[in-house]
Amino acid sequence: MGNRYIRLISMFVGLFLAVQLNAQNKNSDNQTDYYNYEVEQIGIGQDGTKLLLVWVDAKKVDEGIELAKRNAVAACLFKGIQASGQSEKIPAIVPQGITSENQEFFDDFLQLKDKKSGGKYLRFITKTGSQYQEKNKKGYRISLEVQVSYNDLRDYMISQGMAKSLNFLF
Amino acid sequence: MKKIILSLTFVMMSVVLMAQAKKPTIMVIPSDAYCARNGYTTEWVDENGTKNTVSDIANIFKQDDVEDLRLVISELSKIMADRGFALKDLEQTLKSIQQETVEMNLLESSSSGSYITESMLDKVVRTAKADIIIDLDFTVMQKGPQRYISYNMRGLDSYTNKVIAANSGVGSPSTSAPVNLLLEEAVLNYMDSFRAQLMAHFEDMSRNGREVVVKLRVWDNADVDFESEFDFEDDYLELTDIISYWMEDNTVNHAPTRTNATATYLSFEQVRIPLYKERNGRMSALDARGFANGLRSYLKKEPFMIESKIYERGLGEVWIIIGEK
Repeated sequence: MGNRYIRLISMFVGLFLAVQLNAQNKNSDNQTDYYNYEVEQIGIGQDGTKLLLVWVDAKKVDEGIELAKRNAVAACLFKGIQASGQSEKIPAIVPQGITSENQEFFDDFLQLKDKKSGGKYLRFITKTGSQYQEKNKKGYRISLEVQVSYNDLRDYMISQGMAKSLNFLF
Repeated sequence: MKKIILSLTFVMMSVVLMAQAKKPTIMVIPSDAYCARNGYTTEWVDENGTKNTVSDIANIFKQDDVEDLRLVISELSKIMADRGFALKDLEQTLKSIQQETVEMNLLESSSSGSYITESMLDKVVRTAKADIIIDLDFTVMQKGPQRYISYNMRGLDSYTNKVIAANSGVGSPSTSAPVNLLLEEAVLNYMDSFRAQLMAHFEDMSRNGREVVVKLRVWDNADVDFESEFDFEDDYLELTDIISYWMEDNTVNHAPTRTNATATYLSFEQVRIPLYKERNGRMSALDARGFANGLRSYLKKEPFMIESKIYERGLGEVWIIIGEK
């Protein structure tokens, strides 16, 4: 009877740890996954800005909105945005992507905003527009219109030595 | 001793890092198609009686209806200046050339009253030119009540004639937006992609050297040509082959392409020259003329003893004319 009781408790503890670990992994995935999301250009912004529509999956709406803002900046940095409609392709500011040399800088810069820290990327979000959300089994599928200060972001990356200036050779 | 070596290494590295390559000039020039469509052309009849039509770039900014062109050039200039690459302005360059001509005609020496010598070649050379040309074409199109912009922009290397960046497309149609707003939108739309292509060109330059064109010709009174033979590396070789070896030895890729080789004319393309050379213990920027000077000096020595003249067409093209200065 005692052994059965211990086995049952061990099973529960094991299950709880697995769920916790899974949740942690998912958070960590969102935290450092700078590539897996969908993004589209929705128009030509004012000089130096880009108008983007970003889709993300998240458990909570607030979390998803923050992730969409962060991913809009990450898209300008690493992926670039494909041409769409009449809008020409937006090139990536850091085309080499994440490397061992810049990983630490970008993990800090792109850290999602929580109550205590993160959110350094937010200074390059000029404004956010329409938001759409759809509940599914895993949480929410959220889309958000984001305006990114692309030129300021590029200039900041150049000043931090993360991107090259057009003038680099001369 | 270790300290001295370390210090010397540091100084040498600093010098290399501080060296800057020669910056190419960039100028926006309206394309021939744009000039023809808008009637900015001039006609002339050559000695065979053939009528030729050419773009009248020199007078384009004197026309009344070039506000759109001015606006696009200004927008492009603003964006490029923001990127640390101020464009050479075509309109101002044309004015400056005209003003210079007036001043040169009036300037005389105070002691003897003599005028400045200007050969026909000097006159030809004194034109609006740049190392990279942005060949620009755009049209305001109409579809029913809507207007939209068809836009085409190409960055061309003036010497190799290679397209180093290109963008084209049509803008969003609009019934209400004024033409200048549509044009501004078109420039903003294409500029980031254009900049990225220019960047790729400069990165290629930093890895593989600057691409230049070297042409060699012979003065008509010269007693030597490219088929003249010399005792060279235990063999008798024609000057063409000797010069080809020199080009291979002194280029970054060691594989320039010899595109023409006759007794009187030799040309090399895809000549990748280093961006810097060491001079007086420091690295200084190298251009096509600096590179060709090496060949001129080589030909002047034993066993060739050939005098030659260098004619510089710009940062990326140079001619060497052998026989005399």
